[in-house]
Amino acid sequence: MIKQLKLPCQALLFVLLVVTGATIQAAGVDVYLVYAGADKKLQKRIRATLPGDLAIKSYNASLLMMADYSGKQKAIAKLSSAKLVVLINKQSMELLGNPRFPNALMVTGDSSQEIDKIKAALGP
Amino acid sequence: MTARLTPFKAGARDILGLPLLLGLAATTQADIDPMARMTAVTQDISEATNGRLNLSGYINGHYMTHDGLPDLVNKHLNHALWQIREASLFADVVITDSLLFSTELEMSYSFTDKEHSGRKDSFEALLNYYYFDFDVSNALGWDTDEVGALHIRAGRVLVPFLSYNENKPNFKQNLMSQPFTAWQLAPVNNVAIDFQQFGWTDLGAILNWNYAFDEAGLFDVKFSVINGLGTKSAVLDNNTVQLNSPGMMKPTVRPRDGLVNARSDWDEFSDVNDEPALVLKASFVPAAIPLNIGVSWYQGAWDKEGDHDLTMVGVHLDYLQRNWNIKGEYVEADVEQQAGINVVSAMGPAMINVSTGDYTMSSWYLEGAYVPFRYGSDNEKFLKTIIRLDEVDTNDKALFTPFDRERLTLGLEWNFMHNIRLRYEWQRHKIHDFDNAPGPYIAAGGEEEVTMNMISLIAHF
Repeated sequence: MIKQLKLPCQALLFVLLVVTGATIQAAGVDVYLVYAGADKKLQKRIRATLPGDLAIKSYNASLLMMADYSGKQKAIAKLSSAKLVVLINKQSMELLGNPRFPNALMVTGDSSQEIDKIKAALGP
Repeated sequence: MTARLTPFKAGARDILGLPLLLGLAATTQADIDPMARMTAVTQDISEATNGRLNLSGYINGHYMTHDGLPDLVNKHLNHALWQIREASLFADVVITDSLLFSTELEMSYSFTDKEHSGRKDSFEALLNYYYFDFDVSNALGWDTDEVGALHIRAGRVLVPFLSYNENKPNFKQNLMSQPFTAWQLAPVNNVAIDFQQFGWTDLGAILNWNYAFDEAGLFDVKFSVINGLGTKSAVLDNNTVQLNSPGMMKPTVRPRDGLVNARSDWDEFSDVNDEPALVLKASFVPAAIPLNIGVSWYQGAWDKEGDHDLTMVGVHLDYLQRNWNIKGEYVEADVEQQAGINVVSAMGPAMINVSTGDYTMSSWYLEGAYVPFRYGSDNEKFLKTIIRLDEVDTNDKALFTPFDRERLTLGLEWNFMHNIRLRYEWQRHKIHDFDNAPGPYIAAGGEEEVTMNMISLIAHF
């Protein structure tokens, strides 16, 4: 058994060490806006109200309905690199499988109250 | 390894399989939460590497018995099978904001001895896939709201054909058993005759573009160039089995068990010919409802000379709600093949073994699942009922093949603690045109109706 496991494990460790060692820190995304397909317009409106000097990216979580089985993990790994993950409505959270982001905030609309919540979470 | 076991030990191990499975389920009812602990460990690893190394995984074990299958010389299909079907570790490494490396270490172990399981090795391990994924739109700073998102994936990739292959882990599915579309047509899991493969992966590249329309929904297209399915044999479905009929005559026959990825070894890089295969999959998710519908197409030469094509077309749908879901696939495969070739050198009936010339394979499945009630904190624990109907014909020109059959599967799942579930499945297969079944098949115990019982324990983190 050990003999059969040896080669795949060696290959896995080698690749992970090389690839992880070659990793470059992400380019510094301030905010990831995560939304379900039905909230595309809402996401655009929220994005338009946020300060222009922020590095903002969006992620359509409905894509996960068509992704392969490690799609959620890939998405979470990418989103976690942002200073703040803004989850638009509960559906976006459910599409991601209810992950525990250390830096997440949920909003339900684009009212000034909700926008202020995002700005407050980003700090001064 | 198991071949050295005495019959007593091998039998005892099989008998112990079910109680072990149930015992494990009972143990996990105690005040521990193993999957939450595993998740916490992977989160620690992710944090320790600044989010660069992300791990997850799953494991499932099952106990399965069949009744009504023919007995083979080196494999007793009705004997109970007890195995760790899959134990997988996924690793996703964030290299840059736009480049990701992804792999899966997959292992399997059979507690049933080789004579009964038919497996070459009790333990198998491989890297199921390994590829780089480059987010072109992110790297080039595209406005994805306007032009959509584009990814390029290269390496050993999951073949984007239909829905099941890209979502095969059992914790993502309603049932442990694969539908015929994945078992016999798209070779997600090779048929039981040659138990080797864990997913349809191949060396190649995928171009993936998707676009979200404001009102209508999300459109996704994957175009892939891969080595493709193929074999060095003169016929595509060249598997053979030796029927264990009473008496001295043990005929060798081609079961025509469907498509097999003959170069499925994880470290196999070569193609059988110089022509790559092309795969196209287009999917659509309407904004209003959680429905994923799509069409898939595959074309590639399967023979050494590159003269004979395999062409497949299929459709899929997944309607996923929290408490119920409907899934289905239909696929048809046209095989170009020379008629009149008998690749079986051992003694066997020519009428069964000689190639039919061009032929068509087809398969479909429709599956529904419903959760009647939930309980526990966050309503995370639940009972689920499942029903699946599926049908397959692996050669429309053959007089008889045991893989021209229909099947009913009923299932019950109990998600009794965080990310751990117990499943029971019952199946009844009905073989078509059984009047044409050859005498040795019936003499070896093959029946028109086959039943199956399976109990599984599935966990993921």
